Amino acid sequence: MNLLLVIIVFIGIALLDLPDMIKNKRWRDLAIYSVIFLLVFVLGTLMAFDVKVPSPIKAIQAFYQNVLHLSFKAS
Amino acid sequence: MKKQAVKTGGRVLRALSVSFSQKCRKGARRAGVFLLCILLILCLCSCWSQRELNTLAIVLGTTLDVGDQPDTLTLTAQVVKASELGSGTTTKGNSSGGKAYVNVSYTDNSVLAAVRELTRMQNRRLYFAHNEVLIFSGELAKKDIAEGLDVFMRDYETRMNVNLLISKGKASEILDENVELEKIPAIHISRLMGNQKSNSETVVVTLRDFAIATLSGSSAPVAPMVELYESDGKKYAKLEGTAVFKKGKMIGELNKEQTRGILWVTNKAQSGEKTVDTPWGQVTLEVLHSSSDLKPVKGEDGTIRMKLTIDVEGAIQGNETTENMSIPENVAMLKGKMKNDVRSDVEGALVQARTLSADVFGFGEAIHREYPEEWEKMKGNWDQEFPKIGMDVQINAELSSEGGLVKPVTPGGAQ
Amino acid sequence: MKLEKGSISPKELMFSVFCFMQGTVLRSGFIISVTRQDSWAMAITGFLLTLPILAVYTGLLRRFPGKNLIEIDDIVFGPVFGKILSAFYLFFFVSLAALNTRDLGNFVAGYMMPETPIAAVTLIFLVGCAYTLRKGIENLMHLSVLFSIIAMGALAVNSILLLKDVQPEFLRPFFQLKFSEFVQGTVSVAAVPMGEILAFTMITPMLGKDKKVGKPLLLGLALSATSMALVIIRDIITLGPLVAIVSLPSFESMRYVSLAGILTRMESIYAVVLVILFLFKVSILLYAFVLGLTQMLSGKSSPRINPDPAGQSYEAEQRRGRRSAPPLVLISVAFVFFYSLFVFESVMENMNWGATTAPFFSLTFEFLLPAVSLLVVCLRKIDKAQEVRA
Repeated sequence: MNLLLVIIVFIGIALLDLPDMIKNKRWRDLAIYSVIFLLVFVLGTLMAFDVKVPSPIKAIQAFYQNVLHLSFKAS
Repeated sequence: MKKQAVKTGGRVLRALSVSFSQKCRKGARRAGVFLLCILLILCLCSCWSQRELNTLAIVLGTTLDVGDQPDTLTLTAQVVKASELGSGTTTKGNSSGGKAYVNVSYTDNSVLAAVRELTRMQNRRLYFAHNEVLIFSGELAKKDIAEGLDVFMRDYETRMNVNLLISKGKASEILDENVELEKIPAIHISRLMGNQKSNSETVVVTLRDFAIATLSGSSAPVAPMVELYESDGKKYAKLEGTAVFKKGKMIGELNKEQTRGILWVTNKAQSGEKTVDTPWGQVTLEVLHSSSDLKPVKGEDGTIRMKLTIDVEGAIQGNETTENMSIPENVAMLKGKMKNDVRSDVEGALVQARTLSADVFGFGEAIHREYPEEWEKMKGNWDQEFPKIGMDVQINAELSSEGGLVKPVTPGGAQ
Repeated sequence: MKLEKGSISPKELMFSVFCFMQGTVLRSGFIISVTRQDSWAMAITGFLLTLPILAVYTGLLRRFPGKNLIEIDDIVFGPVFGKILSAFYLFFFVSLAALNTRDLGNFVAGYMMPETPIAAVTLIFLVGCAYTLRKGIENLMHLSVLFSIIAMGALAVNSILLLKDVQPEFLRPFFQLKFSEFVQGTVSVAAVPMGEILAFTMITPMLGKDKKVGKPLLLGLALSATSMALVIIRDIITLGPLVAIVSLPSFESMRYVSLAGILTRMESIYAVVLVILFLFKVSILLYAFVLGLTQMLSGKSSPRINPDPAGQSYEAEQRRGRRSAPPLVLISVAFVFFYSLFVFESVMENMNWGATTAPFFSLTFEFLLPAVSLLVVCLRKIDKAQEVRA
């Protein structure tokens, strides 16, 4: 169900974005776009399958607290 | 003219051809917008969290009692029956003339568990957003009031301006009182609380006030008490006295006069009536306005005393004597009597507070605000310090009016 | 050409800053739990601490008029190192966008529609942001005055209705702060709502080259600081010591409004205002991200095929990028949507992040990196002449 939604949304995004680039023959843009598109799509698929994606913010929090020792005390 | 027409025609044609070439893109965009609209229609009406009126059980009053098992409590919720409510004075209609409310009750380990459990017995979900009163039984208050407080403060549906009361006896019975002017006991109690300005004998406390006093650490939270009395075999609720809390537990009570004392000190007294005895009989004075100001003052020896200034403005409301009370000497005497009356209220409350060692007046907070450094030293053993704090009371009384009569109605007074 | 360049006015920029800030002001109460009844003073000291940060931004922007942060990076550090630095900024923008989206989702799902999954809320919200970006961010900026009036009006109405319930003595005793608490409060306020003004360095080129950027930003910040102080004072005198333990002080104090039994349940006004302001904020953050990403990926080394015959110039391309939204909008919004879903698992983690690490994380991007850039500019003496050649 979630996967279906993700696929529909991404097809929608592609339909909205692609025609302009193809019509103007911006192939370089298209290549970059496809890479990003695929990356986000993979991310979406992972989320749809309930895979736990590690949060970069949490990694940063650990980095600031444990390596740099920069953090306030929680009240 | 013709040229112009041709020109515009051409322009229209050109625009058409352009639009034709863009038709494909426009179509896609239109489809996108259409999908978007569908999505918005689905979501903006928030069907997901919809709560229709006819699926809700609107709770107007809640009580908490000690349960029969150890560590349980009984939740009773008063749910309004809308069909009975709308019938007005006519008894025909659809209304069967029954009660306009239903009390549902369940005993469980926690408040929320009881609420969830009630969904197995009721087809409507309890909806607490319109809850007007929250009544704890005295028995529960003496054990622990914290759990009920936490739930009713934390939940997003409940509000912090519900009236908090403590019942003498079982709290659920309060919601079963016979109501005559209102249709729902919870509404009766809630309006009753709104009406207490005129006698200044009840503390009106919302959940917020109670929580603030609880958080302060030095103040002793207070809450009004409600009890049932019987008349002609029917039970009615009335407000009587004040419950005093310390460390999350109810530790004592104040009577009517002591409650009035608290209100004088905390600047919550507004109006009220005083009957004073004169050598000729009783005279009734009405308090029209009053205000008070509580301030800690540091003496030369470094001790802190509280200084209380009360301004009272009153009027002669009733004269049972044959004496003319409007002459200056009598006015002065009445003023003095009024002062003494107020003073005895305040001192009575102070004595009781010292006995309980409960800072019902907020002395601690006042000292904290005025003398933060001294407070740091005192707050460690505030329980021992509080009874030692002295209070100077200064009362300014004014009698501003004599009502509609210059002289009393006395037999033969016309001569 | 010159006329088109200045598509927003300084006044609109000022109110945009206010709207941008106000959402966070209303939403968060994390410093109040630390500095309690003195929190309102933190709005002022935080503002003062933001001034040097703002000075760094204006210093950079004045040296490169008409350029945004990402372009300045390219000029200052060269194409390779500049791109790395830009990537850091972009990560910051997209993280902020995701965090704020999550924040709004938490609010709506937590207080307004408890049964709705948070994804549904953020999705609709981000669709709104995507629509804004595709229509052009300047339209949103034109509306900033209106939004500010709505936000201030709601604030004023709610405060007036609360007047009978407030107890001003809750503000006393004044300044009972330990030094560490004072530092924590000031740095938090400066870094988290106020320093986020960094996103506006991506937008200031819309003002046009001849306009001063410092003044509207400063005035906007001052306005936000004032309103922040007022909001905090109102919350404190309404809620007293409760203010330190409720999760949303502004929301709770508005919920307390009850006038004559009729004027109650004001929190819906708050919710509407909050959603508008968050839409504003996330749109601007997203715009900063998308614009930066587009500029980074298109680059000058291999210019985009451009239908504009004269248009190999940087300026024209830039204008195009602003006029017609880059095609990365939708995919970026989709990314932010997923990012906001996995950024935190719970509100508690979010609160903990905001209270402990967020100020340092933000300051790294808001102060450290721009300050280094400015330092390099001063040392290498990259001046306008070089910039024109570049």
